[in-house]
Amino acid sequence: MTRRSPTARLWRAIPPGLRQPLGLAAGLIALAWLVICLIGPAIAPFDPLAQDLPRFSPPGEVSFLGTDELGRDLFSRILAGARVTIGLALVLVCLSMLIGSLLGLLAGFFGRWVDEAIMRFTDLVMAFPTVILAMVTAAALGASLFNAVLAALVVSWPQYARVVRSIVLGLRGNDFVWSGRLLGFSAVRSIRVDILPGTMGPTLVLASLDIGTAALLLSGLSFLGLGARPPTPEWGSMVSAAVSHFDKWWLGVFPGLAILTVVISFNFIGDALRDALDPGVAPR
Amino acid sequence: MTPGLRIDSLSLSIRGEDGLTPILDRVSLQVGRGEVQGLAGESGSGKTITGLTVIGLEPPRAEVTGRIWLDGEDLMAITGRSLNAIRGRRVGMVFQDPTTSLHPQLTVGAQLTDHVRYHLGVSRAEALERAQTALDRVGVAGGRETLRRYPHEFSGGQRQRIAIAIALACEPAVLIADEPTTALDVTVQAGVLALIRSLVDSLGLAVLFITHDLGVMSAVADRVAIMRRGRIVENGERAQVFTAPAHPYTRELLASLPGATGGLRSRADLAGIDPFGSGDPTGDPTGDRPADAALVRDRPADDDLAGRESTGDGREEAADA
Amino acid sequence: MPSERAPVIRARDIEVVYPGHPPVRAVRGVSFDLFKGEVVGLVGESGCGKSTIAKVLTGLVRPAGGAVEYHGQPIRPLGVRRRPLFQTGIQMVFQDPGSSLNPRRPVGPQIRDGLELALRRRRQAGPGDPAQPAGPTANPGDWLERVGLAAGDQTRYPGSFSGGQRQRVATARALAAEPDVLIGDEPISALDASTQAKVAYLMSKLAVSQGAVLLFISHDLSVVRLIADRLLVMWSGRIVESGPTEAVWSNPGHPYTKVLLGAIPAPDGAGRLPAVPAGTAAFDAPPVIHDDP
Repeated sequence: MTRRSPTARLWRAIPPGLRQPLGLAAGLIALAWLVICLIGPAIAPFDPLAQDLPRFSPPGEVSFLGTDELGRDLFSRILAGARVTIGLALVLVCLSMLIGSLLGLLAGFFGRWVDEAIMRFTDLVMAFPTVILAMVTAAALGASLFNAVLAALVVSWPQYARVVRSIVLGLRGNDFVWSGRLLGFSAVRSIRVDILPGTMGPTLVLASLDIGTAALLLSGLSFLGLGARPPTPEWGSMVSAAVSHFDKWWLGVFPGLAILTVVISFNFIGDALRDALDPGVAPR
Repeated sequence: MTPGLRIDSLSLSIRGEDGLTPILDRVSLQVGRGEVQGLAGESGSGKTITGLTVIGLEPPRAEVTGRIWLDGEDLMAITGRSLNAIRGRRVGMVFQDPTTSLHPQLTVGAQLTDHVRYHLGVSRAEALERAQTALDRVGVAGGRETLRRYPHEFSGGQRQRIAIAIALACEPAVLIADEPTTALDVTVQAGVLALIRSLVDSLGLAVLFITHDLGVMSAVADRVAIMRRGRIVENGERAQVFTAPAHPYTRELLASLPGATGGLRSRADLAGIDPFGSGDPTGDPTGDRPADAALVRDRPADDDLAGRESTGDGREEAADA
Repeated sequence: MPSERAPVIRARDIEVVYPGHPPVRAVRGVSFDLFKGEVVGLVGESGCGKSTIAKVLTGLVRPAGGAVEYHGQPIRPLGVRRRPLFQTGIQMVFQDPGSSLNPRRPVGPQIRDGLELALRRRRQAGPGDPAQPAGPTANPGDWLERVGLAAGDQTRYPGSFSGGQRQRVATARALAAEPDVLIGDEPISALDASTQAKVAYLMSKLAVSQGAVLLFISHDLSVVRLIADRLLVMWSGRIVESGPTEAVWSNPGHPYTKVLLGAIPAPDGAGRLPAVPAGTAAFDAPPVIHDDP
């Protein structure tokens, strides 16, 4: 038990959340998707925009995953679309996490009227149906991918504000926060040193869960013509386009699987991140 | 057949990522009728797990060996439903904190009658009758009205008395009390200790009294076992253990306590203790151990635990003999 | 204590009311002085108001009435703003070893917080300032060694220490700020019995050697009486008895103190059940004040 083999040591270096077959697979899948985000178009067998292949060719005939209604290679479009879908979802999640966490921190830490003002505003935003509010905002801003992200941001920060606020309320009563204040910590230092690190774990887990939702929301907006414009390869709009060709199952299934694997693998990553970021409280 | 509770060479290990972690090592105890057997030890010594294992509530992934006898019947041979018939019926249990061991949303009456009806199959009326007797026995006044009230309407001391009443409602032969007075103020504790002692004397209960507080132990126990790192290092008559301890660990433990024989009797004695040391004869530098729950999770790096373990064994073996 | 010296803490008729239905009068007219270099034990059972006193002294709770002065200045309740530098001379060690340190930071930086505070106070304080710290500068490693841990433990997280060790670290952190008032709010009650006296002794020794006053709050008289010069006994929001430790311990005057002392079971193996109190009616008797020797 005291002397470990090099393999065991390597095993220990992997975050505990991923130290199981399922977790390991998820980690590898997420890693693969991130690599594809970077080099996707370069390794695509066909030009994702070119319409020179036979239309509706089933998987395995002309190409690996078949072709779509315009004769474009599905596999190449999925590889190229990773950058759009995952990339924008990541940007969206990071931004809403940033804004939501900041407001949640302020509300939870300062309480009183600051809390009242922030939380009533949060409730106001949450009172609207998410998709409709995002649609209205996107329509008002004008159709573009950038505006779709802005519109999605408007509806996705409140959940972070709420979660972070409730964590802060729990942390604030801890003795170590008080002893920090007794040692002359300013509010900013107290938040940075004693409060913020404790919110990171749950927030990141929430964010990792949210990546899928964010991808779907952006795809939804694209489907309505408020986000990615054709011919930009985007998984959500690919699924949407498949709706009108139900008999060509591969059109919807493969982009759908891509979204699914992203959602699940990032969940595992979120769990592993939490364990790694919370050394004091992580299960051993 | 031996009346009461007998634990024979009980060992328990928990299976984890790094293999088996030993928690209990050949624990043997005997609690006769009308007797209080104290089981004392610091946090993490395994005293709570010993109590839980007797009623079949050992932690998950635990591997248990040894024998537990209740009035001559082998409890280790009993599993599943039959074990439920023993818990609460023939072995009662009182926990440390009555605010969590009592159900906050059920009336005292419901908590006092449910298991009585389940175990003894008596009518509601008779169960209520028994509940009333049980409350009278533990000195909670108020008659039928009391049975309709909820736990939060009582003070901490009264709640613990109610918990004892529940444990004794089916008239078990054995009571396991795990730190039953630790959450109470000393003035309230005095009453609960007197109650437990009088119940032992009047009902002929066999009580396994688990506590970290040697003062409490000295007040109620007839025999005292001192536990350390899953092992009983000393077990004997109360007076002998407190005034002429045989094991070096017991001596060290007493020497660190205010008011004990050979312990800290006045301010001047403080000068003699090493404020950096712990009550551990192995010379473990500041080796107060992690909390009870830590046995299962949250232990410090396993490497340094393994190191600590090895330092103590030699002396312990010698003294055990 | 010679009365001509000015007290470090001077509390007069403190009243604390917690809002609620009905409001709870946690402290009902408490007065006391704390002098440099003494160890004062504040004892009583749960709900007697002893922890509330600690919160009043540190500004965590605003008293509803009365006055608390630290070196003659009123204590400002802690709000959103940073604590006034002058008042950071009052430090506290909390009860729960599980939450008295930030579990997400190694202990070294946490002790450094205390050291930096001492440095700031020293820089700002003018000559003749009564709360000016005067000790030599130390580093977190020195402080860990002073409380019986190793300097190399700086990089470890609180989760890898035992409860007693965490309270030692919390003590080091508070004392590194070079306070002249250290408050221990039940700092040993969550620890193993064999460790309690040791941690209490360590706290009192280090605090006194720094010239600070230690206000040691506890429900456990048997340990407190070993380290305290003076005792304040609280019951139901009032101080019912006060005086030099030996006088209170060997000659308790108030009915409540008598009951409290009689209820402590001694680990002597005699098998004596502690006396069961007959009721609280007698506890409303006027407070007993033992004269200083």
